[in-house]
Amino acid sequence: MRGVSIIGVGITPFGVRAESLVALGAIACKDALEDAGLAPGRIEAFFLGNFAGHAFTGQNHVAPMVAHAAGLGAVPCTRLEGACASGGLALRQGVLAVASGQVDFALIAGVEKMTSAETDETASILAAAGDVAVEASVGSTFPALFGLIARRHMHEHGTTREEIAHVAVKNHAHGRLNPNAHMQKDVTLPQVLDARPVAEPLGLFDCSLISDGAAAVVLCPSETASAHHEKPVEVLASAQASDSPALSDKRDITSFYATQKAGEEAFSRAGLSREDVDLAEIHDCFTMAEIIALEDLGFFAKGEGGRGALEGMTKLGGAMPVNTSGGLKSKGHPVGATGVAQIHELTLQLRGEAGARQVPGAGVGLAHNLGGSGATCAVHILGATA
Amino acid sequence: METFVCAGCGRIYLENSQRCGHCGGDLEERPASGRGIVYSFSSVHMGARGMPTPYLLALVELEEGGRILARLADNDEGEPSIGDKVVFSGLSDTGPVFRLF
Repeated sequence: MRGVSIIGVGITPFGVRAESLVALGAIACKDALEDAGLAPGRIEAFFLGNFAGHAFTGQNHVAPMVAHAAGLGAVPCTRLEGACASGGLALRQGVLAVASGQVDFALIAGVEKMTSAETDETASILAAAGDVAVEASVGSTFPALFGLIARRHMHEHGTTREEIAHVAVKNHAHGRLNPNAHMQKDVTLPQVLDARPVAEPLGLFDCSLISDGAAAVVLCPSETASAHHEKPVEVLASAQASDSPALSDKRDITSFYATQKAGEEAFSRAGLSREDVDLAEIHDCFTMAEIIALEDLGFFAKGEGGRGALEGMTKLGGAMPVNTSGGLKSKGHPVGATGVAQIHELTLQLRGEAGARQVPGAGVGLAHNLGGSGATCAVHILGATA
Repeated sequence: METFVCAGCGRIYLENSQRCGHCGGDLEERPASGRGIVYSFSSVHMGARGMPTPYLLALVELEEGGRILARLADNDEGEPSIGDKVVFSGLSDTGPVFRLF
């Protein structure tokens, strides 16, 4: 297997967008190709992350449609669905295609158009990322599953409501600095604590945003990457793991086994330790999810993850900033786009192009993309060119 | 309370559908006391389509082992706590219902 590098990234602003599902995908693809200085005809394989095109917009078979709109011609187009990890899975398939020598140039995109549906309809569509037979049928939604998880985490590990709320405060402070973020404004601790309850103990500001948006990435072999971009970013590891979707089937609902497995494999493949990571994009679909992921990835001991945001370690300027993009919480969470958008943010950071939210001297970044209540997890580690 | 437990994956069912909907394994009848404890719970204020809110969801750990996601019936004592004792009170349109006791 050969090394793989990122030579182009693209993104649409996240939020309520007028463009169609397909147009959003095509815009991000064109943006990434332009960044890589490549004509669309150079792409040999296209992988698209999309969770629920049909349920949200009536459109399925989205990969060839986006490819056609982006001018890719007859390339093989594959759509990946792994709930909220769809984008991470698409990236991984692109990495494997280039690493194996099958193709030299792969384009990866993620897209979702969610805001045309009503909120309760959206909740039902998203609930299908869980085990419908034993969860959605009982009236469970994703906020409800993470409400159950948060309550148990507080009970077992002493995590406080304030620690959980600080994740929202931090990620909104970061998102305020991201011109592509859905909500570019601060929230205060009292605002988070006093917000309308969604699924207790979680309130409105503990939940990620329902957004439209797309992101894209161009990959090529590392050995030729510098011919295409002056600051290629290397994919140091790509890992993926799975677990049972249903909470009732999990031995422990305060950790996600798929994250632990994918994280261990990623660090092992990259030959790096936790201390080597300068920044991370973590799947904060809910505030509680960021805390659990930081523990599962080994950045904090079990039960200590809440200290990250509370004590400022995961804030910009802290030891390891987390979600400098604003995360799903503030940048927004167009489900299929999220895993690719995390890579967009890390690439900007590792090139030194992240503007007001730049982490000085960022050399290694980690992306953690979670599907459902932990059934699918993709972890990627990226490195700047020395 | 009657339960049907999958010999393959251990998933618990309250109705005998012969085969496990999860893994296809055979279901074995297992009498259960209907008693358990609240493993975790959430009061849901923004629910799924067509479901009146708020409602209480609980992950119930059965006395005989295994957990199931269920509704908690309304009660006069206010919010439950983790570890509270519950008992099975029947099947509704939205699956199993337990009540505090």
